[in-house]
Amino acid sequence: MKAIKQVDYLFDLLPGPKTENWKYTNIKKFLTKDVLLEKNEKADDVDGKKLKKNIISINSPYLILFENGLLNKKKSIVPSGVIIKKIESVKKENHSLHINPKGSGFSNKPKDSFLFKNGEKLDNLLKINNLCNTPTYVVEFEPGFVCDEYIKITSVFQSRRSRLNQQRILFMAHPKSNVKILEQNIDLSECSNFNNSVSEIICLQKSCLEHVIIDSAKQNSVSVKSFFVTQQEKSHSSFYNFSLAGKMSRNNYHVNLNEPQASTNLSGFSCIKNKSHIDNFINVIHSAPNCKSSQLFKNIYKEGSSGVFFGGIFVDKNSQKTKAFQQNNNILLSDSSSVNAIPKLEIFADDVECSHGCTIGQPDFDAVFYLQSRGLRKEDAISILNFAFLNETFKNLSSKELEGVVRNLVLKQLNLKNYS
Amino acid sequence: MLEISKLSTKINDTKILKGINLSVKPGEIHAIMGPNGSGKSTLASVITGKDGHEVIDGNIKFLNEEIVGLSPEEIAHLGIFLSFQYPVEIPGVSLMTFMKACIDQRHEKLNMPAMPASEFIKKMKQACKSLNIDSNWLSRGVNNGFSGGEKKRNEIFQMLMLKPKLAILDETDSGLDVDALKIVSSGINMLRNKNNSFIIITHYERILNYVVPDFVHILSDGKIIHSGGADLAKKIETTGYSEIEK
Repeated sequence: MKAIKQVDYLFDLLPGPKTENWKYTNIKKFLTKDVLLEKNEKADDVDGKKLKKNIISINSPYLILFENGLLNKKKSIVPSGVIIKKIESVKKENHSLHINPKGSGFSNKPKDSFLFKNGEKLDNLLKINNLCNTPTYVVEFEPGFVCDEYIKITSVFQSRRSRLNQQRILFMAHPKSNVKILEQNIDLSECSNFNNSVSEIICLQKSCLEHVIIDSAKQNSVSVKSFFVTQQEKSHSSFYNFSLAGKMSRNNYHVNLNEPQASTNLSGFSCIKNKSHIDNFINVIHSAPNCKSSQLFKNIYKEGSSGVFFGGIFVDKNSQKTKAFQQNNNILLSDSSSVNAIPKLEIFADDVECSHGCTIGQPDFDAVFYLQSRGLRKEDAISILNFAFLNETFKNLSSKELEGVVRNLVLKQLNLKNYS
Repeated sequence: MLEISKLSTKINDTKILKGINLSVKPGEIHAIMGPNGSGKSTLASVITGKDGHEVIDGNIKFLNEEIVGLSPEEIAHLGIFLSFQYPVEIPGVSLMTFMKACIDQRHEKLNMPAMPASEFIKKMKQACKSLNIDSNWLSRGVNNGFSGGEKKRNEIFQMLMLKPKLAILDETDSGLDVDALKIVSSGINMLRNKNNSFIIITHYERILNYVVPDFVHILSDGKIIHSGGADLAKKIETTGYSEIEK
């Protein structure tokens, strides 16, 4: 009875069409209540072959493997200078996150977070993650840590019955550390799960973080990934989010540039088909002067797929000399596809450079004609132009190898295998 | 090679071409001149099969085959090349990959064996050399970040690679400085032989100083109002189109 009551409570917490930030993604449409009945358990035996097929192959020995939200220490390989700790889960009575007002010095005990004190109001998915005693891991990068190779963070979900899988990680990049993370969530289950992961990322002074997510594996599950980022003075972050598959995925990025001269770039694309739905929710808060941010998201929707882009820029009244840019371009390739794009700029400082641009359209048929006039089939011509359209979002990845991986995934998705 | 008779077209309800007759024989160079909005670029688009133009009368035969209704790629495979006034940028797709795909699809369509990689690279290098193009262009995205002049040179490069039977050059000379114009013209002259033909669409006489046409046609309001030899271009340069239109 108690379990059923809790399921009802959790289901009611899920945002609906009347929730402003979830207006165009009705998560309840993709879920059944009973998914919430069962929660994190040790993963059933992970199918190694299936996992290998879906995992992105890059030349890096470092891997942090999570299975249904739990760290698999045996299979994880971390470079020196990286410490992983499991800490007490967030208690029901205290819904706040683990960070203090300045973003430094996490504690085993939950404290009120200055920055995200309204986090739960922003998103009930965070509340659900907080409520369910989700095991929390802290991944710390020591001061001065530098690693040229990506640390792969692979989260595998596998279960026989539909269930709620939750994951919680706090990344702490200490001063002058230089970190590259390649994150991949893979659901190997035949059934449809609900995977809700929350990551807090703290970039301390002069740290540099590159965080890449690639969703390319076919899956039946609903996935919500939320990133709460706070950056200190002169820190820099680059976030890339590449979606090529997924039944329903929501990616939340809340980035707070908390101290002067912090900067962030957020780029990504959705290149989806088969009625997939991808919702990218980006919110950058300029809380200090002389900070920079840029958002670049390009999307291609085919075969009844749909998407949402929310791009928020908030410039606080004291954040003079802010530079904040946002660009979102969308191409619809079928009548049954749709996208909702919502740029939202709130600027309270007067000495700033801010811009945004948003387009929704179809392929440029003059350009298609150009390629056809060289002898290319119309479908290839459209695909090549679509590739060129998306290229801008991944060409600045710091690794040529990873750029090549993304490039090949896009070419495959666009049926252009011969162009790799 | 190309026979256009009584060609009339419209876009939506607007008539653009109003009864064009044009005959291009192998080895000939035809220049088409005319004021803005006279239908020069439309004629090029209609010959090469662009969507949106409705042929309401007449026909276009290329090598005795009716090409009205064929797709642009089918027309390209028959051997017609169109050099664009505003070439498209394709970032992320290298010129080399692009050209290889174009040639491969053409060979496949014509049931020809695929071009060996060594031959392809040899051709690319030759074309680069003859147009004074740095070979690092080949690995750059097609036209990506190119200046106007570089884009036009790249059009001629593609023409040399694809070796068409009929090349239509739509204002290839516009935006070119004298040196670039000489290079582009030498590329055209390089491909010129008794079997190939050219239609050069231009506003100015200057490219015709380097590529001497056999015929010059004046297009006005969708009709060819006057045809003559190379001298006609010189006359227009001094008198303007209005004198001819009278």
